[in-house]
Amino acid sequence: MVQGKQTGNFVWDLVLDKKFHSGSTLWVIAFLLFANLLFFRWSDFLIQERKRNLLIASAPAVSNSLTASSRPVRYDRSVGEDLERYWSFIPDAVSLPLVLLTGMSQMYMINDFREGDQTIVEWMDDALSKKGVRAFGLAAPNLSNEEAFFLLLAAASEPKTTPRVWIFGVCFDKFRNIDLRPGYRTFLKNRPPLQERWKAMADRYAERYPLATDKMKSTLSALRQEIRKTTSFESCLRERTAAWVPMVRVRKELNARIQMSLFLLRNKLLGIKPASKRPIIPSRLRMNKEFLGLAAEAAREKGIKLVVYVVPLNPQAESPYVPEQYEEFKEWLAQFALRNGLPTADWEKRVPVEEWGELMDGPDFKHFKGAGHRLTADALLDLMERSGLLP
Amino acid sequence: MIFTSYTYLLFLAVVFLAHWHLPARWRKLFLVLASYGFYMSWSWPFGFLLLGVSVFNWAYGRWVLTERRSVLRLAAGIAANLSPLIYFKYTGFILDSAAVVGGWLGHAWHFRIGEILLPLGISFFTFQGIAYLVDVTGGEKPLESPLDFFLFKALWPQLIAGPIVRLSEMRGQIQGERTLEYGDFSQGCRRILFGFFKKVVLADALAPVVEMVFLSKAAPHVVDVTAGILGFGMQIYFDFSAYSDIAIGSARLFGFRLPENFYWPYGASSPQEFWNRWHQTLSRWIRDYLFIPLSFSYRRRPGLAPLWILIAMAVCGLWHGAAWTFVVWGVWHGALLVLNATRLKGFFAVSRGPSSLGERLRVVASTAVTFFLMQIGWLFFRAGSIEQALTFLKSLLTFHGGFRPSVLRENDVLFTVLVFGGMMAAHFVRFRCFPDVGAVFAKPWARFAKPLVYALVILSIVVFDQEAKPFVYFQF
Repeated sequence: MVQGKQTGNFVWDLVLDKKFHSGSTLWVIAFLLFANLLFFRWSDFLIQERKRNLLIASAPAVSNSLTASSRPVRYDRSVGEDLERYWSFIPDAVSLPLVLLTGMSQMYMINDFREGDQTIVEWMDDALSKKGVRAFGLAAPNLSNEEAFFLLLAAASEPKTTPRVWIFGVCFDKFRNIDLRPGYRTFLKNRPPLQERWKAMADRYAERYPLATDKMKSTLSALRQEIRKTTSFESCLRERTAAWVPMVRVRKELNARIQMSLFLLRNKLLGIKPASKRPIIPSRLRMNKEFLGLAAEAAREKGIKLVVYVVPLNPQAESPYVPEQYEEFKEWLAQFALRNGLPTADWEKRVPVEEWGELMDGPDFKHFKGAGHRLTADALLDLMERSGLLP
Repeated sequence: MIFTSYTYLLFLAVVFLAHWHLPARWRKLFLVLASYGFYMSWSWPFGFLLLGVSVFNWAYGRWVLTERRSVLRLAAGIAANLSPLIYFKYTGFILDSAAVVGGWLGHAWHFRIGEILLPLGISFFTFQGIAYLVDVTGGEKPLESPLDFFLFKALWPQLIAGPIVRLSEMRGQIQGERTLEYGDFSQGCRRILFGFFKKVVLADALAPVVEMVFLSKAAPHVVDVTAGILGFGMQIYFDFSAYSDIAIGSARLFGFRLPENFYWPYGASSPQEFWNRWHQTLSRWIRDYLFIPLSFSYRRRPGLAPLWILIAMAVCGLWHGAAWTFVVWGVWHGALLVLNATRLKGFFAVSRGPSSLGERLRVVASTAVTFFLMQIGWLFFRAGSIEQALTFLKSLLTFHGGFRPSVLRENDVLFTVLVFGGMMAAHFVRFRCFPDVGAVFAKPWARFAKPLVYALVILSIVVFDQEAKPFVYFQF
């Protein structure tokens, strides 16, 4: 049966078997132990590296003991990774009017961070607090319109988080993105009433927004399958394993590192540069336009004032957009705002050249320095004032 | 409990240790209980359905069929097995189809029913039950002990999505003494490991690409359609063969040897060969329990054989899902098999031994054509409706939209092509460069290379894991 000592117990006999000692098993265990040791030593580095890639290096970490009542957090610092946790920091919209700001990494990334710099939403909150209004940011890198719509729907599903004003900084190249990121999916997964609202919206607007509502149904169907299959026991087990096994603990960071390496490799092999012109894929563009339409519908249903603006871009950096497509997009957004009676602005050239920093050895196309945040915040406050959205 | 979940790994480890520590006489009962625990972790009420079906088949085989083996009794047994399957899986389909036919005849009615949840693995354990009754009617001795039968029916690795095992394959393993040898252990772990890799790293990564293309309102260009179909062809292969690998590997840890289900199907050089390599246990079920009995019944009319192939494959399609797209998929394969045996026999005839350059080129050509035909089949399999499949087909044939995608990102197309290239390269390396894998792994350098590869595979599974996505074949 097995070579070696026979104890009468199959498992022990297996462990004592000579083949077991000379085979691959022990070597695999040794390699994995070694890998875990390495990841244990590198875990801090990997976590910091990922934060840098998510452009949140300047955001101080929030300790676990911090509560919503202490309120030093004015935007989702996990940038969508852990929405569940930062949701509780949204100021109570029942006691004070609330303004929520959504968008991509421009909202939270401060290039050349200096002491005293603040993000757009923090400047806004400072100014608005004096008028008895609070502002909070819900931004994430490459935020798609499906995600923006999701955040609006999620916020509007509870009186405590229903904002009076919802501001969305619209960025053209995000119209190529689709789907909810894992942090948002988890959030939706944990809230059956929100799923019902999601489904109701998809059903109600199926004819007017066929692409977006189809995507919503597909998202929900995948999510419900996950819910059926993933038990809380599984989540708990994963957490426990991550606590004990460094390789599991840093798996997201390792994944991000591999994705980044593949991204750079692709760029190198195909000669893709940040300024390479890449047209937006037509059906994705249409779908994202529909999601914006759905956001307008959802805001109207809940009496929320929606504000959309074209985000500032670095005039010094070469644009990766196809000029005709970009102009067409801006025209469409202006018409969309007009049709829906939304305050809007085109701030493409709002932030001057000197307020932009660098990224990947070139002028940063989308992320400005602290002063750019201040300028954008002031512009938003002014727009809100002019539109009669402030008390 | 998904096979690729941490919960399953814990379950497997606990059951493995407990099983081999128990006295031999308790092991069968323990495995039956573990199997029911595994099944009921999805939905406990369906455990009673499984129990009911098991009790019926055991008693029917033990007393009714052995007392008098008649076709009528067999038919009654088969009908009893099919009843739950028809109710749970096909009620909606039958009523919808009847409503459509009613509409054609001028009767606009639609019988509405509530949502019927499909018990996991019902298609598989129904087919297994039918095979058992047919085998017993054919003279095979039934399993007398209910415990043996419950283990045969419920053994969890094969319960949800096969391999569809037969009585003759399992009787000796269930009734005999099982042992744990190092070879079983290492082979079992290896199969589980590579199953995890195929599912977590490959199939789950392809899933979003496929989903995006097949979103019903999308209007894809030819690039999207090609990537979507190719992506789905690979996704379903990696997904289902991964399931089979984990099932076979898990069973091996308990001393069971389940039949193989896949053998490099995309290397097939004819539709017939494809079905000898794809879902092998279903293919032989369809052949032995459907096609052969039909052909035998009409043996005086051999000209009807193509019709029986078409019917058998249509049933095979319907078994996969209660929709006309699956029926079309089955008929498509049936038609290909008929052509393979008749008009295109010459084209698909293949010699596998040492051959001339011309012969080799012919193998390459027939393999490429077979691959293409299989992918067209997957289009119908995956499409939400026949209209969608036809729209996609039109897109493909008219080269709609040229080389620019309209749905997918360039990265998605690139990724799909890379996985496809990798799969083909693996096939080429496996069969052309290393036909004798055993000899390669026996070399001294393999002593370190092998565990290093295994460790890297484990690392990639951990890193790319998307938290236990369900298997595609769980819906069947």
